[in-house]
Amino acid sequence: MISIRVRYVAQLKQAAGVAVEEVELSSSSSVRDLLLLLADRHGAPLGNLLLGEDGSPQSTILVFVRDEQIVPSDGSLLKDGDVVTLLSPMAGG
Amino acid sequence: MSTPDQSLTNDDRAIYEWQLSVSGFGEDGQRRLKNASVLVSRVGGVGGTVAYELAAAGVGRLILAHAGNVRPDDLNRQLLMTHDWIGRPRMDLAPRRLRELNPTLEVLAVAENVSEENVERLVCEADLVVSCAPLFSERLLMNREAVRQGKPLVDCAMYELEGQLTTVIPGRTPCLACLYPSEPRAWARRFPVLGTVAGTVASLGAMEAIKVLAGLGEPLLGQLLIFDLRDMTFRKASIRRRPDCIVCSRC
Repeated sequence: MISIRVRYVAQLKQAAGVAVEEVELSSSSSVRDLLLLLADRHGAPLGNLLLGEDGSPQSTILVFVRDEQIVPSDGSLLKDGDVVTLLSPMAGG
Repeated sequence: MSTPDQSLTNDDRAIYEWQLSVSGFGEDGQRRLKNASVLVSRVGGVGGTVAYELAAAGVGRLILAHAGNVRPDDLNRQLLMTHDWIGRPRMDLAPRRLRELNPTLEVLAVAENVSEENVERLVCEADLVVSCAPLFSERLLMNREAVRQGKPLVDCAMYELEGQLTTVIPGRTPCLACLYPSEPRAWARRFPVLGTVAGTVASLGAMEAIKVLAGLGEPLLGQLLIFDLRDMTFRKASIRRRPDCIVCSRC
């Protein structure tokens, strides 16, 4: 098992109801696996913000692993102790 | 970027005395600002303060685009607006407020939001764009046109007590469409925010604009500044260009 710290930003934080949470995943889990787990754990509205209707990661959610942007479809694997930041879009006003 | 052609006057030196001694800025940086044109869209909580900071810093010309009248719910964050102007056009007030601070400032005030019809002309007027609009359609449009014309763009955004900022240099850095390849569906026009958050991201955005224009310091190139004023955390994260970006992949 690996332990991941998830940091939510903007609308995602509001939808998750927490700013940070710890998640346990099996070894060889990808970012996509993490998003599926979070969507399942929290349900709507967080799940709808993270995943599209077909279950694929929303292309407008920015994902950072240790402050480096990754694209979930790349299949990047997570490592024990990784900090994953999930950022939903924001704008001016 | 336009070549500096207007030199500093003694009045300029008196007004900008405190910043002329900033390391790496000096008279050359001040001259660059004086000869620069910046497009700011819009002049709300973020854009209004960006415009105010740029006017204070001595940017010579601002192009402002924002339609509509001042509303009561603008006043928690739109510092260029005033209570007595509720119900009247923002663009009738913004230039006056800016010139009260800087009478030599040239302002092109356009009482329209950025659109397909005007974006080419507005970006063409500027050396640099500061994107502060609340709608992604408008932000992505400005990004597309800035990249097409090879103009730097500073992107400022906020939500609740959080904000983010990056600087786009076409061909060198990710553009806004690299981050958001499509218009985010979940984004709502009205969102929670404190005016101080707008002011914070605006001041940081104006700083980025000044740095790019004056050749000062290290702008946020290929980096996204993310901050949360709830616990005062500021972080920089690396962002990536999309090889298939519909806007900048051919730059």
